[in-house]
Amino acid sequence: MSKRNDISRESSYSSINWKRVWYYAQYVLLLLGGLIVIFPFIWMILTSLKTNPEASDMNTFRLFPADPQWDNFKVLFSQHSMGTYYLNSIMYTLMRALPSIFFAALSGFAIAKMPFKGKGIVWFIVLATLIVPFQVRLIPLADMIFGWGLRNEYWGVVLPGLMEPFGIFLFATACRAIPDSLLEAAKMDGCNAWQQFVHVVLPLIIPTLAAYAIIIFMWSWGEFLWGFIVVTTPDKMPLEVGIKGFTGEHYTIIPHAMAAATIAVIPVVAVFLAMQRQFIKGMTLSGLKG
Amino acid sequence: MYNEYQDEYFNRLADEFEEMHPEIDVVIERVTGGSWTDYKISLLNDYGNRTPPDVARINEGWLGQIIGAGLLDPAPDDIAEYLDTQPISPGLRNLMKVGGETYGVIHAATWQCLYYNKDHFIEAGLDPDHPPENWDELIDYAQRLTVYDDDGDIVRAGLSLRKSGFAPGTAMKFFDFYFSAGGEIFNEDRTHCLINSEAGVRSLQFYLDCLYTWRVDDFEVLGDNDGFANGTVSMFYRGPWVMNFLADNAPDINYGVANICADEISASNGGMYPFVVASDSKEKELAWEFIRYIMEPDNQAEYAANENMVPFDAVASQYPEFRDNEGFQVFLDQQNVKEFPAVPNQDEIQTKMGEMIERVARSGLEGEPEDPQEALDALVEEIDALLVGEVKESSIDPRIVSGIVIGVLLIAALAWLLIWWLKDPDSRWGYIMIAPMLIYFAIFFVYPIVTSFTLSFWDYNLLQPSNPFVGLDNYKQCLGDDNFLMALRNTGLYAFWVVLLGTIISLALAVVLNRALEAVGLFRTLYFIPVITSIMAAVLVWKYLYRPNEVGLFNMILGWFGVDPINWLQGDGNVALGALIVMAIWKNMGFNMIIFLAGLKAIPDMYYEAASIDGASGWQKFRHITLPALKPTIIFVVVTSLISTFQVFTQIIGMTEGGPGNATRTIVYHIYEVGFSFFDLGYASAAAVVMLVIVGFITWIQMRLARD
Repeated sequence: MSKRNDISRESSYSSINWKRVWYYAQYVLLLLGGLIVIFPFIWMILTSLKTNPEASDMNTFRLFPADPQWDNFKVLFSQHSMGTYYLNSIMYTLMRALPSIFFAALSGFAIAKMPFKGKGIVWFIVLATLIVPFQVRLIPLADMIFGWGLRNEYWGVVLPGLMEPFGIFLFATACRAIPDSLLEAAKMDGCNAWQQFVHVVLPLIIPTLAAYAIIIFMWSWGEFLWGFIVVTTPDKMPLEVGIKGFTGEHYTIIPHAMAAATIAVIPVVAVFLAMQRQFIKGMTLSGLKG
Repeated sequence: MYNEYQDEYFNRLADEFEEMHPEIDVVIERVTGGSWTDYKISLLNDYGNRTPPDVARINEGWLGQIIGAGLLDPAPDDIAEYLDTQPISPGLRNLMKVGGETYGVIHAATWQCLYYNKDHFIEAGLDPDHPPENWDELIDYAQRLTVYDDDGDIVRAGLSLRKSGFAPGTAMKFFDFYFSAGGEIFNEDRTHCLINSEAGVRSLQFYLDCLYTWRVDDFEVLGDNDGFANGTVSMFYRGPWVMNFLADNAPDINYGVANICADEISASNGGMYPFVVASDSKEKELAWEFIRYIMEPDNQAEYAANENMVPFDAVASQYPEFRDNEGFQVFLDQQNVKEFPAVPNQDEIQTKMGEMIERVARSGLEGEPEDPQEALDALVEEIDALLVGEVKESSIDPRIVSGIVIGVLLIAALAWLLIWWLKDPDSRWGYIMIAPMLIYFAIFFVYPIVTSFTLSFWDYNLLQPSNPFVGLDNYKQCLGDDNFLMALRNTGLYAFWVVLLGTIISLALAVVLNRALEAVGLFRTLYFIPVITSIMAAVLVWKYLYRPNEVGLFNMILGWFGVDPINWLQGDGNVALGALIVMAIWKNMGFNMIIFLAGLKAIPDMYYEAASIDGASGWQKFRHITLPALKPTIIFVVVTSLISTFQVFTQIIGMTEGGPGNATRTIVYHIYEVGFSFFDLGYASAAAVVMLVIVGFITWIQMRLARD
């Protein structure tokens, strides 16, 4: 033991302390990597304030806009319907979130704690639908929703996302961790199953509820394919579908596209920064899907 | 009524029209997305579902499909007569006519002319007022205008050909050459494709010669309108909208517009935008009346000026804004405009043509190029099969079959519920609580999954009158379809590299981050930001970073190190796929990193302490402690990433649309194109089922591994 200490002390006097160098090098590397990761965003914001020729002509490299064009952002709301896309995205998310969370928690609780025959089949359905990619259901689902006349309607966008097998899976797992004795005690006090769910179970699974709310928020906010197929007019478009319109048929006005991307990204990043821990927990859980 | 752009203009017309007809209400709807493709898909879906708009402004490319399916109302006599008396190329006019009826009226038209850079002409010792007039001159000028660097690579294309990107667009630009060589696309009754004629071979050979013999264009140099604006293109054919584009993006450029160069004749391929009325419309009379209003010369001229198109009306085209514009004058003088005749499956045919052109054009990149005659013969065989569809007996609707299956299952489930409800009162609360979920799952999960299976055994197309049961034909078609096999290969490659590199990078990051304890929060946040960014916003930004030539940031940075610019998304297929892979890794590595960090935290410190005492090096600790302990986490990350990368779609439709040359076509993109663009739901469902099998297989492996 003492011998090893001697050696390390000796080396730190005689030559460069490689351990120390490696320690700082790690930071430099991490910081460099972080800068590379974040650079597209910085470039996006800077470009959103440039003029079109400034953004398209790269023969001379300019990091900062010569004269910040704040009008690029005004255009999003005057010439394009950016505000509407925003409100729509918020509305779709809210419409989806409440039923998703409620029914997932309720069904998960029932599967975990309620005695009934055929539970095995129900659990099998949950697991089986969990692994089927959305695209497999896409065509019949579109055919069905269009057939009901819900094309380009708010409900047409929201209906297929009201319950997710993943949520049921998540809540069933969370509810299994609740000791039976708690429910027994509530039963003794005269609580029926519904009251047990509301008064005993819900307070105990608040972290899961929060995490699932974030998952639904991320899924709903980032959903593209379904909205792209169902929505036909800008007044119903969610953000993801709306901003696709900034890549024009013939050519793209780059600063406008970058301004749109900026507006789309900033609020989510802000929410993320404010609620980092819950976000990361929720997102990590969502990885369990599949 | 539907249109694709110009909300303000159409809303104003609608308001004015409502004032004249106070009893009606005109609703203008604009359709999703930024492109004609998106618009077309939405619109054709509505026609297919028999819920079309009364009036629609469409594009000649899909006219045949809708007329062929009997979905349009023949125009009243006065409108048919108006169409006949306007001085527009008869070719365009004839497009509107099938079987003696006229199916709408042309509102605006567009065709190609030659754009040439006058400064380049002067520099090359050519007369800027004398543009080339025939193919010999064209190629002679192009060779003089092309500039090479020291390595012999092209830095300025003398003549830029459209040879990749949206496939039907590639085909349309090819027809400028094909028509000029005297070619015709179909025979008289449109049952046989003639593109393998001598003119077709000549035109395709012309492309190959431009690329490999005369070397006036290649796949790396920035081409088309972007290239023209940036000075890397001296000549190219394109529509009148380029004048607007240049005014916006390169106002200083000194250019001229000239007629298409003649081989046999000077002929441009044209496109036009007609207004049509649906046969399912309930207000046909009023619909036509509204069209009459839109067609008034003032209204037409305003629209054409906004969109930089040629107005159809004889009076409107003489308005000063068109007559006094030199460029427009050239366009108006190009009287020989031919078009792609209206046929059913038009879109699929044009897509096949465009794909063939791109494939042949690229074939010379590695070795001997394909023989044009053979390539065209093979294409004609495929197209003829699409032209003469045999009508089969319709079978029962596959949706009814799956409906019955679900119905039987539901009844069985209800019977079960009822029995146990009565027998076992303890079960009641459980049943009440899961009932909403069961009903919802039956409708939105089980029914669609079962229907995907049943549809895959039917020849089910929304735009075809009968939909017969065809057994395994769709699966056979899948396995014989080069596009599908290509999609499988690309998806596999994409998933393999994204998962392999993404896992290694995020694991390395997590290990380093796990030790640098002081700032872990900051870095975790930094690396996590791409994960929460919406994919479409990321697509917009990365598309900009990946711009070709010196105009993209990545290329500029490469330029600082003396590396030649790379055409990331439209050049080499592998480069494009690689570009998408890099972006996907960037997007997801923060996510996997977090999962690895959680796994690392769970490894007890005492293992490492014990190893230190035994004198283990850092690498040995990683190899013998970290890796084995992380095995379950690694399996988890690999499998979940594999499943999610297999479903890649948004990135593809936003960045490459499957190109270049199908190099980034993925399974989901293929399903989307076949199902929502060609409306071949049966075939698309078969492809979806194949995808389900693959994802199921991956999941099964995961379960096996997790058990060990």
